[in-house]
Amino acid sequence: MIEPSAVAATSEPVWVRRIVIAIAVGFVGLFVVVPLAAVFGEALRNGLAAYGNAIVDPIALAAIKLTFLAAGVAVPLNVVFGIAASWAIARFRFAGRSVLITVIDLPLAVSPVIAGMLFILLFGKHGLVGPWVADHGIKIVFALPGIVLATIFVTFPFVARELIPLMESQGAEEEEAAIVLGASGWQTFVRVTLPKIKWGLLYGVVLCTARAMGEFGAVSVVSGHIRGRTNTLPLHVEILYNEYEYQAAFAVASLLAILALVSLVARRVIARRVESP
Amino acid sequence: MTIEHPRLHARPLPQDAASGLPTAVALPRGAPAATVHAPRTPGPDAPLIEVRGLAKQFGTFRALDDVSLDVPGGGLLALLGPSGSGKTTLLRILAGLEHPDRGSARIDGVDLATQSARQRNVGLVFQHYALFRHLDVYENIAFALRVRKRRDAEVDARVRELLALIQLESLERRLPSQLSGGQRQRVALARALAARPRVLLLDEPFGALDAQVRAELRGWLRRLHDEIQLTTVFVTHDQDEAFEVADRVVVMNRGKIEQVGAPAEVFEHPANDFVMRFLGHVNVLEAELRGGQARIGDATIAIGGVEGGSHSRVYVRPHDIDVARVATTGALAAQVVRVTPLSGGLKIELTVPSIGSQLRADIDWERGSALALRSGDDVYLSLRRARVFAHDGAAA
Repeated sequence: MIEPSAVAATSEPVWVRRIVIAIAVGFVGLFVVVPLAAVFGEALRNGLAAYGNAIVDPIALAAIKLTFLAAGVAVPLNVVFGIAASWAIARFRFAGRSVLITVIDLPLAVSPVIAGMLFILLFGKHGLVGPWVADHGIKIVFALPGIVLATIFVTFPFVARELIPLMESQGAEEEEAAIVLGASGWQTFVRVTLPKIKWGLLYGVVLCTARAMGEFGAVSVVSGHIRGRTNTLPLHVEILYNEYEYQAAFAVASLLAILALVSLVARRVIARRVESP
Repeated sequence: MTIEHPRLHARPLPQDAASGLPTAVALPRGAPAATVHAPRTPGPDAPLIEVRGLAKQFGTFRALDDVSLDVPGGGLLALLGPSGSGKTTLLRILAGLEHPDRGSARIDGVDLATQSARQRNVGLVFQHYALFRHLDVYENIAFALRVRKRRDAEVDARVRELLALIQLESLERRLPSQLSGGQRQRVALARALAARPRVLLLDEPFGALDAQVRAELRGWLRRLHDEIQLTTVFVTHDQDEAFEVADRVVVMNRGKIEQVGAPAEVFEHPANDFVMRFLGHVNVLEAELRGGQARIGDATIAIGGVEGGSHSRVYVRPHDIDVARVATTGALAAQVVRVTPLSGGLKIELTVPSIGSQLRADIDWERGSALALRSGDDVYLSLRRARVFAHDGAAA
């Protein structure tokens, strides 16, 4: 009996395989694992007490609070927008549909700094609508509303981009069936559409949240860097670093790194569910 | 019936409500003309579904072109036609998933234009089932009752009843993805029946199934219909399916109705060349018509009804051709090209030199073994029955 050859036509000699694997692992190690380890190493250099102090510092706590607040407003709004946009794009053929698809990707294409500048140009002291909102006693730039707006801008593609291909591939037959069976529009959405898209939606939410909390450029432009008031976590890290408080900077940075790792794991778990609903 | 009877809130309409619509033109040749002037107020004899002058266009494609149709209550009607003939569009308009550009449709006297899809209470079974993928069999069937906010006990009783009807009691907790095609089809049917619809609509119900399951389900659907007596309309492109299951067949083509009738009637008396061609294989021969006779090459065959000295087409079914080894008067000389066994006999492909065309004849086993035909044999064909159509679409 002849054993079927284990070496397929596309497989390479052992030494080639080893070299390719070594390059991949080495690259990831050098540029991802080592820096990440360095973050935690630096953060804990002066011991756990110093690490804790850097985090419970009132200014750091204010930054944490602001970061969660901005993400807490931006993510739900982007979920609503993402579902509406992907519903419209997947279900209807309307004038401007292809323009909408392109515009949704815009925040991913432009530099976040420019996104921040846009809001200064709009709402700044000499901006287009800035004087008008100032007259009405609303402060947008260098305040929470500006930070939220900038965060929404840079994160709005994430949910929609997850849902559009998903909804297009699923089609609308189940919704049609629900309506013929007597369901209202709302019942159809809650009982049929939402369960169909929930894993894709959750995946989009994780991506959106991670980006909202980690955003630096756009928020940096509109925030004004007022300590304890308009500083988000990434901005706080920068300030600490610029003031040579390395250990404290890395301690706060490690929080962002933990957030990133959690979202990475969440993405892995959810992605599996998206593929096999 | 738990629903309110629709007749109770049907608004009386003026007697001539439909006369403004171009209904008469739409009636297929050979269809009973009396159905055009059906009374507007629903009486005991009124058809359950009345379709008048429906038209629907998708871009430049005319899906329905002025279609009128009556469906009597309690019947099982098949919409039969090739793809693009408009049969699915008609079904979707009845269900409320499409809106007609013109014309009207009534179910039980109620104008469907006044009701949204969710108010119509029609049962619709989709070609690809469209079961809710995240709900199990039980909840799929219960859906129509859940959205109507029925009490759990009532839902449970109805779902159990339907599970028994489709013989899937043991699989109630399975998800659609864990079912076979035939099982999914039955769940889709039970789901459509849950809210006791006035009408059941089925879109290519067996289209996605393999041949054996298909045959089983056809018989099952027919028995089910006989049991529950629910007015049913189903769409199919398969004439065997339509003939086996339905008690009335509507043949559609290019958005129009070509013929309406009982299966035997449609098959035996096709209204035109399209119906003739669509319902099974047919030989098309060029002929000279004269004095009630058709001259095909050097043979002559009597044809009743059609006169004139015109050149025309004659349609002959393979089973209407008799094959013999000896010449008889009026027979066509032919040569056997190939003999293929079929389930019911032999298919014989022939060439007829005098008219330069190929023919197919079907003969039974007994006759086949008596003749013992082989390719190259010279034979003589007599045409037992042939048809000529006055308005031959193919000749135009």
